Amino acid sequence: MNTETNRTFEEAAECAPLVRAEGFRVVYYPTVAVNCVSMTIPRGAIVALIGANGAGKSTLIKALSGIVRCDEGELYFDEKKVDLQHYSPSAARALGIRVVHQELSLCKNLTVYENFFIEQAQIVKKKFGWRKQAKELAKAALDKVFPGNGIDVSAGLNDLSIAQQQMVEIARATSDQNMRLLILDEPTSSLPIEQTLQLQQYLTKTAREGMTYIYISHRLKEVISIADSVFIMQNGNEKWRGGIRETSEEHMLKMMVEGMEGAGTLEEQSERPAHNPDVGVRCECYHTASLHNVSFQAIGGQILGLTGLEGNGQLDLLQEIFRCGRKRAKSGISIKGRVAYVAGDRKKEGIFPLWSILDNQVVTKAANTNLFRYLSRDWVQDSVQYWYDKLRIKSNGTSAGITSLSGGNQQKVLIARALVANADIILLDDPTRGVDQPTKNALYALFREAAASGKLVIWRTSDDAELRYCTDLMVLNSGHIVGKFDNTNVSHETIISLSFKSDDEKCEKIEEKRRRVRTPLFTFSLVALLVIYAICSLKSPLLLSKYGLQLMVVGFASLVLCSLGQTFIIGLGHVDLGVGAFCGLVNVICCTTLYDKPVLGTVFLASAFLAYPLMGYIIHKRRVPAIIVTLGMSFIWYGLALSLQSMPGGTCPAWIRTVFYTNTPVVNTLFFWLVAFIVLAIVFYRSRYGTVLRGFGNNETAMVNSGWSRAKAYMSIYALAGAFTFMAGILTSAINNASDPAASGSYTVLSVAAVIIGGGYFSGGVVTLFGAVCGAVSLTMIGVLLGLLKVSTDFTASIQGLVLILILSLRLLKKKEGKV
Amino acid sequence: MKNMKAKAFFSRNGSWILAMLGSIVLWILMGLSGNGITIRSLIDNAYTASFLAIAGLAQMLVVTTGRGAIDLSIPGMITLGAYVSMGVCNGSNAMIIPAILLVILLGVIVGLLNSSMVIFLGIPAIIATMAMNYIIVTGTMLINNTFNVFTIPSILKAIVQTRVMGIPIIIGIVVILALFIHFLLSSTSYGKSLLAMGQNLEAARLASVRVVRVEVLTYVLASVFAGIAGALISARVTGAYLGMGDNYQMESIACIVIGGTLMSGGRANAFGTLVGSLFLYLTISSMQLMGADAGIQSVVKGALIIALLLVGASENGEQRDGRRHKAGAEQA
Repeated sequence: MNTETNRTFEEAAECAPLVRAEGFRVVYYPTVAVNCVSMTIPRGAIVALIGANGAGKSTLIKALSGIVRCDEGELYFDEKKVDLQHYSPSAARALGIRVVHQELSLCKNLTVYENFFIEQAQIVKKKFGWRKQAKELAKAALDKVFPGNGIDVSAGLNDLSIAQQQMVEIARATSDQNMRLLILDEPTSSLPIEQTLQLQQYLTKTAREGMTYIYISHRLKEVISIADSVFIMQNGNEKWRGGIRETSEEHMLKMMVEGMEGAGTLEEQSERPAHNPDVGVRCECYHTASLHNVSFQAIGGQILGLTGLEGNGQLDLLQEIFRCGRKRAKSGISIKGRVAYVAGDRKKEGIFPLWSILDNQVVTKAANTNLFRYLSRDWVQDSVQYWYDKLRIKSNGTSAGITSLSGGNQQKVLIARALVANADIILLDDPTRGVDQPTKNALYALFREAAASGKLVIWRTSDDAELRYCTDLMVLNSGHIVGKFDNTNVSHETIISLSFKSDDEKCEKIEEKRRRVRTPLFTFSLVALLVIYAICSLKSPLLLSKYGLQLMVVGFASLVLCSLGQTFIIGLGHVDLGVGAFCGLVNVICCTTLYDKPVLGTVFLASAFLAYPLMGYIIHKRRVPAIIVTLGMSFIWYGLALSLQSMPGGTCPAWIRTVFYTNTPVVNTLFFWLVAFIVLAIVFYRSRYGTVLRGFGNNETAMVNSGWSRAKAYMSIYALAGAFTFMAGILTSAINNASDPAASGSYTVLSVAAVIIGGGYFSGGVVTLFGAVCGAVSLTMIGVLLGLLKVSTDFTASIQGLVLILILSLRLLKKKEGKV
Repeated sequence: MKNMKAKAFFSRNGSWILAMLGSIVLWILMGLSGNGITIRSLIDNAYTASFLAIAGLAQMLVVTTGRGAIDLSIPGMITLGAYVSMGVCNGSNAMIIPAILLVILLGVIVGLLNSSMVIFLGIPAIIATMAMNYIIVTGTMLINNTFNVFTIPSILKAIVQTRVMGIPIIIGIVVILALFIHFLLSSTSYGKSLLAMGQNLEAARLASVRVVRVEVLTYVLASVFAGIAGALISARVTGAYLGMGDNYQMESIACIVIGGTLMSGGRANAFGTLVGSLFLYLTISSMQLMGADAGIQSVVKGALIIALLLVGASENGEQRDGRRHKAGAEQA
C-alpha cells in the first residue's frame, strides 16, 4: 500500500542508526533466551521483529528496555554507549525508549486521563485544573492515533473493553514528547480492523517524520504493509534480516520454520502405543466464553498436542477439561478417567514454596484419599520414591525444600505429582518452559511411557519443536479448532500458517462493553442509608428537623472520620486494625494530659500522630504484613491510653469544645467540621498526588516504573489515615467532654465494614470515600432505627452484622449479573 | 550446607524458639525477683495459658486457610459455649454430655455459616466472621437471663481444677489437643490440603485439592474448639458472663503470631501456639509482679508482636525479594 514511502533497507541503513545493539545475550539459567543477537535500527524506521513462539523476541525487547538485565552485549543509543550495568526501565525512558507491552501497565481503578497523568506527570504541571489539562492530553493523544475513537477520557479503565484499553496504552506511550523509539509488542492482537489500520497509518506517518519503531506481530500481512525491514528470530538467534521488499509472507513463514529442530514433516513415532478406550475425553460442539464450537475426541494412549499462537484457547481448553474432570461434567463434554493437571507457571500455580519436595510431590495423591486417612511417613515415602528415583530429581533427598531445586527439577516434581497420583488423564500446561535440554528429553520419554501405559496425555506447548513428540495435534485459533492432525500427515508450515491465519477472524468493530450506565460504587451504601433514614423519619419525623439531624451527627461523626482513615489504608490493599484504639488514645490524651498540661499533651499528641507515617515506612521497608503491624500497634495504643487513664473520666479542654462542638445560630460547628473533613478527604483523593496514591493500590509495579516513590506513597497514606483517625479522637473528646480508653474500640471493625459496604474491596485499590461515609452513617443509623422501633439495644450489633452480610450478598449478585 | 539447614530451620521456627527462650528468661527473672525459681510458678502460668491456647489453636486453623483469613467470631463462640454448657448442665453432671454435644452442634452451625459466607458469598473472612460474632453475641444476650449459669457441674470443675502430681490435667488435655492438631496437619489428607490451599489457592485447586470441603471443615473445627474452650473457661471462672470471650479476640491472634504461624496462611505450628500463649501469659504475670498496670502490659504485648515480626521478617524479607526477582526473570 505504501511502496512510495517505503525506503529500501539499504537506504535506511545509510542514515546514522538510532539504536545499535551488539552481541546481546540473555540467559535464564539453564535456558539461553537470547544468544548473541546484534541489531541495528535506523532512525525513522519501522522494524518488524518476528519469530515463532519462544524465539526470544520478548526477551530481546525486555533487554532493550531495561526490564531484563543483559548478560553480555553492548548498546549504543544515538551513537552514545549505554551503561548496561546500570540500565533500568527508567534509564531507558530517560533515553526515550518506550514499550507498549502485551500485558497492559495501566491502573484499572483510575480513569483514562488519570492514567495519562500518572505516567506523564511532567507534562501535566498545573496544580489546579490539572484534570482539564490531563483530559486534553489524553484526548489529543487518542485522537491523534485513533481518530474518531469514541473513548470517553473520563471513563474508568474498568469500563473499557480490552481493545479500548489497548488503545489507551498505545496512545499514552505516543504522548511522551521525549520518545525516540517505541517498541510495540503485539499491539494489534486485540484491536479491531479499523483501529489496526489507523495505528498503521499513524506509525508510517510519524516514521516519515523521524520516529522509530520496533513492531512485534504475528500478523504477517500487517508486517508487510507497514514495516521497512524485518528481523526474524529463531531459538534466540537472528535467523534472517532484510528489507521488506526482499521478503514475502511465504518467505517469512519459511524462515521462521526452516532449520528448527524437527522441522519439515514431523518425526513418526517409533511405535504407536495401543489405545486404551477406558480413558478418554470427548467434546461435542462445546462452548465457553473463550472456546467456540469445540469438537474432538481423545482416548488413552494418545499424546494430544494443543498448539497455536499463545492465548488462542489452548489453555482454556486444558483448564476446562480439568474442571469438568474434577466436578460434574457439563453437557457437550464427557470425561472418562481421573484427571491431574501439571501447571506451567511454576511459581504462580505450581509449587507450594513452604514445603519439601516430598510434600509437593504427594499432595495430589494425598488430596485424593479420604480426608481423615492417616498418611504415615512410610506411605508418603513409598508413594513418592519410585517416581523420585525414576525422574532423577537432583537434590539432597526428598526432605529438601522445593525452592532449593532448579526450575527444571521443580518441574519434574510437578510432573511426578501427577504420576504419583496415578491419574488417567494428564493435562500438561507447557511443562518444559525454562527447562534444560537433558531434562526435557527425560520428560519427553516420560510422557511417551505414560501414554504407552494407557494414559491420555494432553499437552499444551508453546515450543513448536515439541510437537513431534505428540501422536496427535490440534491447532487452535481464536478459540476454534482449526486443524486436527494425526502426527504422520502434518508439516510445520501447515501448523504455522493455520495459527497465523487471522485476518478473516478479526472482529469488525470494537465489542462494545454494554453501555448501561454504570452505577457508582457507593450506590448500595447510599441507597441503604436513604432507606434507613426514610424509615427512621417515618417513625420519628423529628429526625427530619435540624435538631434531629444534629443529634444524629453526634452519633456518627467519629466513626465517619475513622472510616475515612480506613479507606485510605484499604485503598492501598492493607487493613488498619488499630483505628479504634488510636482514636481512643487521642481521646484520652486530649481529655487528660492536654487538659492538665497543654504543652506535654501537645507533645504526646504530636508523637502519637508521627507514629503513623513511621508505621508506613516500616511496612514499606521490611515488607511485613500491615495487618500484624497495626494489630501490634492497637495493643500499644490501648495500653498507652490505659496507662494515662485507667477509668473513664477526664475533661476536654474548653477551646476544643468551642472550636469543634458549639451551637451557632446556623448549625453546630461539629456539622461544619465533619463536612469539611469529608470534602477535604475527597478533594485530596482527587488531587494530583491523591491520584498517584490510588494508583499504588492497584498496580504498584507500574507506579514504580513510572518513577513514583513507594516509600513516600506508603508514608503519605499512613500519615493521612493517621490524621483522620486523629481528628476522630479529637471530635470524640469534644462531643463526650470525657474520655474512655475502650469506648472507641468498636470503630476498628465498624470502619472496615463501612468501607466495604461503601463499595470498597480489599484488593485492587477500589474504594470510595463517599461510600465509606454513607456506610459509616448507615451502620450508626441502624442503631437509631432499632431504638425507634423499641428494639432492645442488645440487637444493634447483630442487626448491623446482618445488614452488612445482606449488602455484601446483594453486591455479589449484582456482580454476577453483570458478568452474564 | 549445615549452616544453610540451620538457617532454614531458624527461619521456619525462629519466632517460637525465641518465645521459648524468652519464656525461660522471664520465668527465671520472675523467680529471682519474687518467690524463687519454682516449677510451680511456671505451671500456674501454663495453666492460665492453656485456655488461651485452645482459642489460639482454633484461630490458627482458620488463619492457615490463607488470603488473610481471621476468625473474629471466636470470642462470641467462647461466650456462647460457656452459656450453653452452663445453662444446659445447671450444675448436674448427668447433663454434661448433652451440653457438650449441643455446644458442638452450635459450633458446627456457626462454622458452616462462616465458611458459606466466605466461599459462596465471597465475603472477606474478617467481615463475615465479624458479623457472625455480632449475631452470636446477641444470641447469647437473649438467653442471658433464662438459665442459671453459675453452678458448675462437679465433673467439669474437676477437669479444670484437678492436678496430678501438681500438674493441672487441663494442661495435659491442651497438649493432647495440640498433638492431635499437629497430627491432623502433618499426617492426614485434610492437613496437607489445608496447608496447600493456604500457600497458594490456585495451585491447590490445580493439584486436585478439594478446596471447598477443606475450608468448610476448617471453620467448623475452629468454632467447635472455641465453643469447648468457652465451656472450660466458664468452669474455671465460676460461671458464664457476657463478654468473657472478648480478651481472646486479639490474644488468640497474638499467640499464633508468636508461635510462628504465618498470617498469610500455609504454615501452622500447633506447639508454637502453645509456646506463644505461655509466653504471652508469662509476660503478663512478670509484669504484674513488677507492678506494671494493665496499660503497660498491653503496650509490651503489642511491642512484642511487632518485634517478633520484624525479627522473623529480616530473613524472610530477603528471601522473598530474591524469589520475586527470579520470578520476574522467569516470566520474561
